[in-house]
Amino acid sequence: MHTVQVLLLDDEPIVGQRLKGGLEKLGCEVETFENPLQAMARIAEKRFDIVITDIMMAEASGLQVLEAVRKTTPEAKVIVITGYATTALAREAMEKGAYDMIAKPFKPSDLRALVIRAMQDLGIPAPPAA
Amino acid sequence: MSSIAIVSAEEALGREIGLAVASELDYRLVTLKELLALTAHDQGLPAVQLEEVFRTGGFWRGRLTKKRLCGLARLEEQLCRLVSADRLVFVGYVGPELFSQISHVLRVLILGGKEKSREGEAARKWFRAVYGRDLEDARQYDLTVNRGTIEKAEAVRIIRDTLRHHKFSPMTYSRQCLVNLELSSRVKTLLVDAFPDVSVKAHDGSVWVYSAALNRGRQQTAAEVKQKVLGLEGVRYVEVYGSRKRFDEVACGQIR
Repeated sequence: MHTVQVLLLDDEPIVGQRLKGGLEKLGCEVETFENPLQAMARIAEKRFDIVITDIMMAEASGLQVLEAVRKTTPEAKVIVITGYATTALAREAMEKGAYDMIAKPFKPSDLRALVIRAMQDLGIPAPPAA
Repeated sequence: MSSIAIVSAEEALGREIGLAVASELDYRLVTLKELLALTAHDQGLPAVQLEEVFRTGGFWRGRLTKKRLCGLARLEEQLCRLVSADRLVFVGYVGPELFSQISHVLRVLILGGKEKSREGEAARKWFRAVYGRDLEDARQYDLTVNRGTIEKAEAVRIIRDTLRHHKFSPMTYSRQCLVNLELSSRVKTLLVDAFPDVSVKAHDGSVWVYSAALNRGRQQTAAEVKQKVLGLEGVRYVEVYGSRKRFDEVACGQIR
């Protein structure tokens, strides 16, 4: 059975720490990053099914990460999480190929629900516990 | 699903395109007149009271009078509910702030190529008085169609094809925005009779309320407002402000 590969990128370590466990409970294998450049380097060498990325980061923006994912693995689902959500940003992210966007703060269960939907759209059955 | 807001000072022009687009996409069409009728029905108000909102004269210091502000708040609340139901083509010029905050609503301006009608001039005047800007300022819209040079069928095709862009697709964020707007519109309707200058922001069940009448000297009134708002479905937390500056800092600082 295919294990869903998830890359989770947020420059605030607490975000990765809080979300990783919940995603692993869904049966996902999760790699967390705080640096977008390191995350993009990893994206270039490994195929991820789902990429969850923050937008506003010092070294590179989440939109650059989104573009990198679209180039290497266009079928991957990219979920944008941001504390600076606006209509313009939402449209830009969607135009660049984001799967969905969610504004911070959000409940971990909201993100899990999104990941389950992304898994289903990828043809991967959601875990029974979900 | 996405929705479409069609704005035209010339009512017949907007309705013609709205009808054709709704038919093409199998969306629900609601015109300004139907919005008035629906709101009157759902809120148990005489339709004539809501029609009064759109009278072009009678502005007090350039603003709507209290009674008309109350009517407008009810119309905007109804509009929020209609957009929440998806697959809507709304033809009318109320709620520009609402639509600008929902990324999955395509905002279309329809211009007429011929002479401007008297009703069209009245709509422009009303919009400027209420929203403080030009109804036909293209910067407020995602798409502008000039019916003077574009045929109806072509206009419908352009709108349909634009709507297919992924950026107008609903997403978790835009749905959250809509839920927040729906809640803030309900709170506004609840309070606008007593506080015509009320401003409301909502986020995930938290509500921030401003009225100059809720300043520090009126703590009892502020406490009563808080209790009243807490009684609404979906409200978990309320803060009230008598200072516009403080409200903008706190509420708008949290909600972009």
